[in-house]
Amino acid sequence: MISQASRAFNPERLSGLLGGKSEDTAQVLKIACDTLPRIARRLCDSSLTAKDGRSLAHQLKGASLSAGAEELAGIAAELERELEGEWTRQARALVASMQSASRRFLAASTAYLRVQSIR
Amino acid sequence: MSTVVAVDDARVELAIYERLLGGIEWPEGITFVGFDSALKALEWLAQHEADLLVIDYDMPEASGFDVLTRVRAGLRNRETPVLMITAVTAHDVRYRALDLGANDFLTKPIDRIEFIARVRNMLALSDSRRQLASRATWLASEVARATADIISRERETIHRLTRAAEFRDNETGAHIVRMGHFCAAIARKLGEPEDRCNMLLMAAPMHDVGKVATPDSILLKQGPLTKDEWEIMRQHTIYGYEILRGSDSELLQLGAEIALSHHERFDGSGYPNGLSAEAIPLSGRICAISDVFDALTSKRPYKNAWDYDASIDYVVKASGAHFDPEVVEAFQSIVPSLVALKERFADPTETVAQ
Repeated sequence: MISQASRAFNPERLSGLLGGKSEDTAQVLKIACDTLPRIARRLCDSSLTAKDGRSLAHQLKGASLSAGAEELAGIAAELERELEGEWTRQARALVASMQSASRRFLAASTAYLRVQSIR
Repeated sequence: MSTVVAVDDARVELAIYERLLGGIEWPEGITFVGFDSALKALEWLAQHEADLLVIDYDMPEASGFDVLTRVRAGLRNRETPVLMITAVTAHDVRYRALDLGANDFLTKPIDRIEFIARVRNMLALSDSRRQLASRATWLASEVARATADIISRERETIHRLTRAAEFRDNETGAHIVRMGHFCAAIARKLGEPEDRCNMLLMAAPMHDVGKVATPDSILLKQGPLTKDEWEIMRQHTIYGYEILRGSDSELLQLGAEIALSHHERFDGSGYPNGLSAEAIPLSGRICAISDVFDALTSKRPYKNAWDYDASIDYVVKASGAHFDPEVVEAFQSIVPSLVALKERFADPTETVAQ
């Protein structure tokens, strides 16, 4: 069974993508920590059109998946589908849960980076 | 050094591409240029050449299709291989991308091994394309050089043969050079295209090549020629034409035309065909004036050189009879240039009275 923590951040995915190079993994992860939560926060903007929201959700989905932020990627994928039409209550709920997932990703990846730097 | 340009609105993806490319062993290495803005990428691509473009399909400013379309419409990267990255697996998206000029696809999330293999293949494709283009450029320059060599040799051969013919006469090598320059200058004044003027420069010296067939007893006779001797003398126009005609060379074709027509007269009293006015090729009408002007202003065993004023006067008075009035007018308007040419290409011991 996959734990919520590993879904928040699965280091194997990014590390595997980068051929197990820990330095590269750390560098890309830092960029992900900087950009993914920011995209998630931009989705909270109530003036955002559904089209722009969908575009951001699409971007977040791809980047999260590559970075190993699987939970965030899953929510972004759901939101992208939900925003085919207009903003809905369900879409707003997904944005809210996205913020929690983003915080969990940040916490898990920061812990990972700390351990890597000790090694 | 090969340049790979990646366009993706997600900085995480760009960072991943950069590191994956950094791990590829490639002769002379790979330079990575990443853009998270499609518009900035297009600006860069308008100024620089890349060896491979990695383009995300779904971007907010401009889609991967837009980028691809504009890249293919531009000059610098119209043939650069494009690897399109898409999260969409729908066939219609792929068909459209192929139609617009994409060379390959990868689906997100990308697979490291697959990404590296495709990048390698496409860089190899780019490399081959560049080598081919470079070889084509080299070949074109070699063909141009060889053609220039052939033309140069053709001209030298013609010049030397023409000189050989002139040596049989009382003419000097300088006469045929002046003939070429006079004809080209007059043709230029008449508004003939520059390449035609250059052809005349080369072909006019062949005007008397038929004299090689004229017997020495006539060609070098000190006294006046008899009627029969004149008839034979006049044959040099036909012999010249026969020697030069039928060639694939435009230069020799023009030489043949001049050889045959440079003794025709505007009023129809010339030889060998008694042509008149426009029926005489323009090259022949130009050569007629050039030949007479040079003969008048040159010293011969049987006469002194005329001064310029008397020579010009002779030509002007013969306008409409011997010479084409239009060509005479052009001749008159460039007399100072013709005199300068006469001085520049003077016979070693010759000076003309001013």
